[in-house]
Amino acid sequence: MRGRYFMIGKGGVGKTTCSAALSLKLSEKFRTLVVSIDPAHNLGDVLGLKLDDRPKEVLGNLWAVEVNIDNVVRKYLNEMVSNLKKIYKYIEVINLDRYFDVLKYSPGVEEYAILKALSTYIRSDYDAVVFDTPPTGLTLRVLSLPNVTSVWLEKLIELRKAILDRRRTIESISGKNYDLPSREEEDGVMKELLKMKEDTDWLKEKIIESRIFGVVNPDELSYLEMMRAKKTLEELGLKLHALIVNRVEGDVNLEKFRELCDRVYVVGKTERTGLERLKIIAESLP
Amino acid sequence: MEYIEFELKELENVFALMVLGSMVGLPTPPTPVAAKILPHMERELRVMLERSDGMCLGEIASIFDI
Repeated sequence: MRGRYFMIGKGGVGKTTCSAALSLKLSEKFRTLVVSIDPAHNLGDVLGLKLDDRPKEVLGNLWAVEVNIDNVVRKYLNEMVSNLKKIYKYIEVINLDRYFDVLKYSPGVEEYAILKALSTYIRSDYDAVVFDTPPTGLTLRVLSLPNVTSVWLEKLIELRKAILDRRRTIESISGKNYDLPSREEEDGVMKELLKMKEDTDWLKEKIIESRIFGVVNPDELSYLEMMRAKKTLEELGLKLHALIVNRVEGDVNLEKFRELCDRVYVVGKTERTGLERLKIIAESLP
Repeated sequence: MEYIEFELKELENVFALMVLGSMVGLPTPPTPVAAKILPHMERELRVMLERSDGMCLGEIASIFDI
């Protein structure tokens, strides 16, 4: 099906391989892009290609890209600084690049950069986009950002409305035009808040519409982590669309995995490598 | 009128504190939100600084005619 797909799971369970296999399958019908947003990329290794942050054609209908998170962080920080430069003229003399390594590890920066990369590719005109994500913890934090931002924006907008309301009251009592903006359409703060709210809600909607695939191995640890991930997703209003049990060998009881999700796809172990291997895996997928 | 003006300033003060709370140890909204609206917040910042100076006591006194 057309749409946006996320592959989530614990580190090392085979998310990248499953993302590549799923996108291979999708590319039979649709123009497909597989995007690695994991700062520790190995999509290129799986596809046997050298990838960078420009989509590269893998097969007739399949493109792949590895987002360089460092570059996105740098771009994001530069944007922020150029915004600040408008207020603090003297900041021109500060060379931000020298502080890049510190800023990069500030709370929230990496998540925001990943989210930015996400929204760029969600917007792209590919029929299907498959996201190979970082290990569960970071991914869930990224996916929860639009919700967190939205809550903040709602509260700030509410407060701003109260402020503008008081200003209008003062205007009508004094009969004079206030020197401060009192209407939503002339208030810079309100305009920015409303625009951000619109963008955030759009992204939230797109993430809800997308299909989230969980990848697990048939062992207890990855089962437990997926159970917790599912709970967090539900708190964010998101649903686990399907579960891929990867590297199944012999007789494994999959009952508990079926309890986690209605759709369970079982992928066996294979000795093959490269595209051959992906094709075999793709056969087990929807 | 005086009362509404006082209330307005208080709201502006709270608004600035919510956006820039990290300066006084409060949790802040996601950084991009603060960075986007900061350039439009000159008035709120002034009010916040004025408030932190303790200047509002006089204002309260005048509202209550003390």
